Amino acid sequence: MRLVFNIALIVSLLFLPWWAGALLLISACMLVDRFFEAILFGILADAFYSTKFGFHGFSSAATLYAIVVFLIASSVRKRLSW
Amino acid sequence: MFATALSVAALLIVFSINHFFPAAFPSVLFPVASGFWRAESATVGWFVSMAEIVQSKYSLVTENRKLSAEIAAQNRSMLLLSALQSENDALLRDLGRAAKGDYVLGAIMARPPVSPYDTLILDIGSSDGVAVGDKVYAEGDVLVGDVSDVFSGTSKVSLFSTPGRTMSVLVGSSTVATEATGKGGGNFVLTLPATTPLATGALVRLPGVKPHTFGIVDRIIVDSTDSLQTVLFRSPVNLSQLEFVEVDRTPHK
Repeated sequence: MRLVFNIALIVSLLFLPWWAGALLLISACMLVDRFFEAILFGILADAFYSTKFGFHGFSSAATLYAIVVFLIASSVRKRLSW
Repeated sequence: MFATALSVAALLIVFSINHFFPAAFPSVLFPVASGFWRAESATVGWFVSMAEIVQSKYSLVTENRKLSAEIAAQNRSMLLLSALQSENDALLRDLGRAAKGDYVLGAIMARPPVSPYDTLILDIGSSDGVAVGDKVYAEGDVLVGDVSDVFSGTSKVSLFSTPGRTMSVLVGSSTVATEATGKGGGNFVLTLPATTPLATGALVRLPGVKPHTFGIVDRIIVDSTDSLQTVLFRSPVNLSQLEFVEVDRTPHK
């Protein structure tokens, strides 16, 4: 499962609309335990596409999104049993 | 627990490298990624041509007639436009203000909506003479952005419609510059006094000797209780369907 999500996220980073990658990231964090790679994908998205103008001046928006999704998903996973 | 701490430490290191040395990862990863992007363009091109082949002949004939009529109409407009362009160039040359551009064509490898930041990744870089700050044009005359990062064989273009980015523009026949703010995806917003006469479809230009098309007014929102009007305009080119752009390598002052 982890490997499949990693491959899917690499493909989405290079070829798919950003929102597809964002949804995949949520799914991966919810379904895979401690999916730390999510944050790495956020950093890579910033490295690939961000500029000094960023998003309203903030150039690490993808990293921040990945961290928030990772933390929320970890918290939700603790309270749920799959 | 140890594995978690190790992962967090590794991510912190990776984030710090990307934050303090923003060119480090792209300069290593772009040569790898550009191979995939080029392969993707070729594959998509093959599928598109296959899809065109299996289209019905009737729809092709109809489309052909429609396009022929459009081309004929545009050719008539072009006659006037090229005459005006020649006259403008001659006047600028006589006044010693001829615009000398040194353009290079770049293929787009990644564009919105793949890029969440309204950026383009081009297949040309410092080896092609591209430098940071070079202006980027689409479909000839439409200014869409400028080069923000350059690597050996690739470059990153920041579009002017990047959310939060501001630009000084001229709207309609007005000669008063006003500030437009990017809203993403080739869309912009600006505010003008409600008394300024403006209509949908008006041209938005950049101030300068050689005027460049920047956008077309799409919607005007006027609140009867407000003294300002909000103008929404968009770039005349569809950024998500662009395949090539031109980069002006003229050294900037």
